[in-house]
Amino acid sequence: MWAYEKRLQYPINIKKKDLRMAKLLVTQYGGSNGELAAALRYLNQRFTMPDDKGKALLTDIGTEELAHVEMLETMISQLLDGATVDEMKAAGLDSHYAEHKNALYPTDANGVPFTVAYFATTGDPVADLTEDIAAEQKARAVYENLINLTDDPDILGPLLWLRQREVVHYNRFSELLEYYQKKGY
Amino acid sequence: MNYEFLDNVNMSDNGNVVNEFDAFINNNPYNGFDILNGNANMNYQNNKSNINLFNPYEGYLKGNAFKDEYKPYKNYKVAKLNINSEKEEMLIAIGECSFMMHDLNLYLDVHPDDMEALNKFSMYREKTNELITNYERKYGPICVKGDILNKIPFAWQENNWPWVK
Repeated sequence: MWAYEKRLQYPINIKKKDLRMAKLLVTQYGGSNGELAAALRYLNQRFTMPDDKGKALLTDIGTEELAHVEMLETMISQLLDGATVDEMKAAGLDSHYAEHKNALYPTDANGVPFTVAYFATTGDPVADLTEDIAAEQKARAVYENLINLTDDPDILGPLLWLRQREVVHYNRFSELLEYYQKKGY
Repeated sequence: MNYEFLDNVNMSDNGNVVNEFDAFINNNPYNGFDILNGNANMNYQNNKSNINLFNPYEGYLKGNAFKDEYKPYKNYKVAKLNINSEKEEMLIAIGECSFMMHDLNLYLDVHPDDMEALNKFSMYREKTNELITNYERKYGPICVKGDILNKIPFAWQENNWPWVK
């Protein structure tokens, strides 16, 4: 089971409304390389990890990804805070408004809804961990793309931090994969 | 709370941090966390281990507890967290400590026999619990298991929802 902690893993305090960045950032919430896909990917794959190391690591990184989902949700929510219909229209978010008003909804930057087709489970630990390692690199690359698209320090701080977490997760998954390969999986 | 990108930190693409950062870290604006800024009170020095940790302040800002693994992006500087209240300060201290605990947790999952990592994990786990209890007494619950919830009105639903500014 899970227990909620009423705090963010890293603080978010966005002071400037920015609908353009909200529209782009949402991809790390509900896009193919986003945090929701990461959380569900690991929390599904853990059931067929062959030993306790794999079960532990996928549980713990999957859990951290849920905290990252919350950070992205917080960023998007604060970027949209107080947006009028006219502002939503001007930012190309009128179609979002039609479906969701100012509510959050996990999509990619093009508005394509989240789908579990973004991740796989093969039952093969080497195949699954190789996917996870790639997923961490793709998420790092997308964070870098997003960093290149803004100069607001309130957005850059959390994006740089989340990018660095992909680096750490990549290293842990790589160590686990190497360990499994040595064991002959 | 706002972010300030440190002018006195120069980072090259290969991740080398110049010495000014050490001076900055030694001027840690938080009070009362000296125990966390070094290797105080630990008796693991004789054990063989591959971990080389940042202190919690620097590790938390960088998003990486491990000095040898830190990879900055281009020449972006590390964002320092400017704190405006004791509440924020206490919350960030919890963030720092639990962050170190968590990164060591991930490491120990894959390296469960590393005694130095375990000692550090235990230190940060104890400190995190203490900091959470202290915060909850003053500013309300973080965990629904906290002792402070034993009163009317039920404090869990009040305030402090973390996405609300």
